Amino acid sequence: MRITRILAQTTLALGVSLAGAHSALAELPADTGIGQTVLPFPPSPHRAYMVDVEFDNFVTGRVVVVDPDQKRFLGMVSTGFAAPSTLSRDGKLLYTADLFYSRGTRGTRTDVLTAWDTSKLAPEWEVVIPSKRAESLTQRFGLSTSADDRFVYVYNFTPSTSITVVDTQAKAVTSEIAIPGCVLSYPVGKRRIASLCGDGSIQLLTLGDDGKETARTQTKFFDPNAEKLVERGVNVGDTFYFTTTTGTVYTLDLSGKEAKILPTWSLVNDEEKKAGWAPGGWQLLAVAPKLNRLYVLMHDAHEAMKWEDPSNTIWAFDLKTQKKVGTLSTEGAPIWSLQATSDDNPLLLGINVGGGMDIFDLKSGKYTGTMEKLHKTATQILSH
Amino acid sequence: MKLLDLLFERSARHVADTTSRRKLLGRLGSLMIAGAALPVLLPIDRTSKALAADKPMAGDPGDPNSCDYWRYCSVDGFLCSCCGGSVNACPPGTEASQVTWIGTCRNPADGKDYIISYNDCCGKHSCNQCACTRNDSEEPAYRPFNNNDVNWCLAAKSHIYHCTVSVIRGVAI
Repeated sequence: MRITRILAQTTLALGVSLAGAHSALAELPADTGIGQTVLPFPPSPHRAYMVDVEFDNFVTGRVVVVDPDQKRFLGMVSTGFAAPSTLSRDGKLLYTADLFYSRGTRGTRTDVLTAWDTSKLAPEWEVVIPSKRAESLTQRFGLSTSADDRFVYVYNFTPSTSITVVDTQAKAVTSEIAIPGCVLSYPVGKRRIASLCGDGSIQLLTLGDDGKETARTQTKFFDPNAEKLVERGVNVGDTFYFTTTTGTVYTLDLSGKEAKILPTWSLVNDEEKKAGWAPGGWQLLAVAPKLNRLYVLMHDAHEAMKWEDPSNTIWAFDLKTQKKVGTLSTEGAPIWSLQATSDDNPLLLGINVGGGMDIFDLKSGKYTGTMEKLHKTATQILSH
Repeated sequence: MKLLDLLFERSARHVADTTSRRKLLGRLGSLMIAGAALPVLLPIDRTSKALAADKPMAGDPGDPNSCDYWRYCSVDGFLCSCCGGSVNACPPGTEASQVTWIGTCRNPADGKDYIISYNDCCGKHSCNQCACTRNDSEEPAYRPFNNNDVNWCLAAKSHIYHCTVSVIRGVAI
């Protein structure tokens, strides 16, 4: 009983003293309501959109939007079943090709192309598209836009391959173009689409302003029986760069009516090849156009079966001299996919398989940190 | 189909596979062949038969619940044997997609290369058990029937991916 009385007195005394301290501060006003955050426009060239297919769920996915300079999570959008995603050229829209079932995992399938406002991160409009869009680990050229943002190209795989063309002005599907034997939709200029074919050729489709095919050409590109050319290339304008799994770089100039194949070069010299160096990863290439540099995820002790494995080592190449100019590396979980920003002071962003995003300043060539716990199974990063 | 957070684990295991365990299995296979105690060919399994393949059988060595089991040399996803099915049977209430891709794996028991089809079981979301990614005979996307980055639930009523079986289709010639 005595202890209780002492405790009560002490508590009372403490309460009085705290009340005294509080009385010196003005009371907080009630909040005026609940705000609605909107991201600035135009977006920073460093803003990154990480496409996460969430393979442990694989019914819904997400695109996480981050500021790599401040290392801040800015927001996200929810997507449907491993949705291919891309940004409009004017920076205003993020497109996702979503797939939904009416009962979640079963029922009626509906596919839509969703256009999200990049400031509001809310759907601006959508178009129902044929239920054919490719279902695979998402990659850069599963969804793309024409250089003038007029058309969006959705790559289809049923396993027949075709491209759905969506007119963003009419907000309607204009055509479905069959591309038998070929895959993906690499956008070229305002009205062309390239696809990579199983016989080693590159196919170039030309569209009219009505979004319908007017011409197509096929040009022999590489020998698929001699080597594996990784389809996840990168481009600067209409010049596309690919690497084989052993490190031969193939360059395509697609600015003309027909594809022009430029001379090949190697990421590895004889000594490096002998030491077992070779490229590997998911999005294993990135290009920083303002530095004219190519960045490649590299493996030592490479074996053929590791061509999609992650790595802690990135080599930098000058695209003009085709010489190696540096090495970047991390010590945490290895990196699976790369993206470089397109501005004058570019960042290199890497998706590591531990759930984080590694950040490098490419001017200084320095690793600046990692944003941890950002994703579950992200496959690619988009930037403006 | 890949699970990134487990891919790292898989990569570590992969290194172990290629440097020790696989060689050990390979050597074991050679020894067994030297003993001439094994059947020359394995039977061709069919997905419609729910074979109890979870226990090692003569000529089919290894643990079907383990990523380093020989038939999984090019699998990319969740192993149905860990999801209530088996190496060649879909778990309850899921539907096998008959359109699929194939890989080629060497059986350490007889040293022969087998055509394996990696059919997906579909209609429920990810089983999320025994993620396994191996790309021993995988080809880029322009050879889709040798590519495991595609969701092969294409011939099922619902395309939602659950897990993958590894079915022997015959000996590679």
